[in-house]
Amino acid sequence: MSSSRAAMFLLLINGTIFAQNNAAVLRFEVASVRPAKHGQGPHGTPLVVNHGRVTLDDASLRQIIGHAYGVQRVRVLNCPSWCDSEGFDVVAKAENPDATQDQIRQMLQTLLLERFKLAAHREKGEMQMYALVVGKHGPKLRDGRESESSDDLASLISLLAV
Amino acid sequence: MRRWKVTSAILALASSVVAQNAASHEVLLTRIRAHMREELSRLPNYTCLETTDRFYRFLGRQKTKLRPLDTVRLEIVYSDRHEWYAAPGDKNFSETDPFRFITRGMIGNGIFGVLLDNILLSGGATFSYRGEERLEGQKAIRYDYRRPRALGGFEIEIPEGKGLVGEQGSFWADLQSLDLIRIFSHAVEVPAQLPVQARRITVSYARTRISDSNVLLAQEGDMYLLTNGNEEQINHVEFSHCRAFIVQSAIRFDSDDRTAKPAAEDSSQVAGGMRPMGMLPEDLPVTLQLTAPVTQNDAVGTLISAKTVDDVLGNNTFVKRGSIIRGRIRDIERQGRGFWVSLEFTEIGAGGPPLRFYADLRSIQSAPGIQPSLLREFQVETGPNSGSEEKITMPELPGVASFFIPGGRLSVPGSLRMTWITRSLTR
Repeated sequence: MSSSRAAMFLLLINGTIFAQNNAAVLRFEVASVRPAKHGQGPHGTPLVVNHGRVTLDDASLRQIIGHAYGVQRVRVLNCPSWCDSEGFDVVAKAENPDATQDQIRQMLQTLLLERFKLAAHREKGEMQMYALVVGKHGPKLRDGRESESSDDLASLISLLAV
Repeated sequence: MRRWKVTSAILALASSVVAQNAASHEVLLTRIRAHMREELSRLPNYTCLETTDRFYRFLGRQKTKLRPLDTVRLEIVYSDRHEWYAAPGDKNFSETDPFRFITRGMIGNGIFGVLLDNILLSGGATFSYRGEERLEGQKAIRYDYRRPRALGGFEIEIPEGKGLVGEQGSFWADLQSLDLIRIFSHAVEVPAQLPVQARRITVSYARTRISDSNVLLAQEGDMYLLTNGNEEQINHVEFSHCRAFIVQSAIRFDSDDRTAKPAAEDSSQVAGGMRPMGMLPEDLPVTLQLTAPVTQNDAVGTLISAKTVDDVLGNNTFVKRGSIIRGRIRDIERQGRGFWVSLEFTEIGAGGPPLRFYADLRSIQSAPGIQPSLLREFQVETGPNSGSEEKITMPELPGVASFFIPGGRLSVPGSLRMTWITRSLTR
């Protein structure tokens, strides 16, 4: 492993409120954002979407931003001091039960704007990162056994008589 | 000179016989196609439950076993040259693409009706007579066919590409009844941008009695695909719980083109004139006894019935002892020193409208020598070329009791009792 610098897209939190066309804004039909009562310590918070109902348990602001903008949390810069320390329970419902993941993300962005007064923009910048490189004695990786492959490897295939 | 005349006469006679035979094979083909057109015209009146058991594997240096992926169940109806799908128990058939119901693995259509229509009835295919063969104990006539890609019959979409292919294969029909017994099809003219080594489809047909009609329906089929990346996927499809379906509402398309897909998906659907069929709650034990023996004089598709031996009690459900459960003979096959028999039970009378009988077989009693099977085994062709077969095993279809009964003559006693546990459609 070696350290190097690389250009990547970052999400910067700033004080500028975007001008938004209300007609085009996607928002949840109903949303509840409450401070989480019992902090769980560092943990993952998957974005659970079930028929348009979104649940995030004890998620930090950085985690919510990560889901809303589809970026890794380390790429969220200029986050306020409480960005990682405070947890929130988010329960929201989209009007359309078949809302796509992209639509849900846009609704989360609107929620962040309206409830957290969040303003953000994307920019390209350089960051310190680790590069995985082959050592001097070569790779010691072995082929995986096919029988251990996961079910998820079965590709989506459509055969349609038309 | 005389020898030359005799030879000429023989040649003339032979060519006349060949021409007559060719003409009779053409006439036979026309009769089969007319017969199947008649059968297909009745197909929109019936809906079935399509159960697809899906398997996959990656062919590497070492050949591994096919791995089960999952089982997909959908209601299906054929109408206006499309197969329409609905979630189990739903009466509104609004999808022509079963792809919408899955998130991984292979899914396809065509086995219920479209493939038959494309190959035998839509025109464009060329046929050649191949002679008589025995198939599943029946005397069958075989024709080979080819349908070019230009007619746009079959689309394959995999992550690496998408394209139309042509079809080539064979079909077998019963010599007496002209009923289709089986269709086999493999993809030809695979376009260069579509990295597919092989795609094969086999469909088997059987007659079944529904109400007063004796209907020829697809009973089971296999879909096989092998990509250039050596990913192999197999779907085994079975149709059960078929019943009459009356289309009341109009089927609307935004185009008059017979081959066009509905332009606006949400404006096209087939809504049945029937109520969604009720079901017994899950996890109820139900013991049945046949009302009459099954013998080898009974054909596949013959209606059968059984009665409940005890009262069936569940939350808000009461089925009285002696209630009738209806079904059909799904399969009879002579094997070794006995017969494999499959009996399919589909609906139970419970005082009001009949309920769908959907249950797993637990045991068979009162019949010495009978060996029940709770698993189905099928041979499927694998690999890039036909000829290499493998066995796959899957749980028995709900509502279907399969068993081996020894003896030279088939006789399933009327006293045969079976115990079932009801289940939900989605589990």
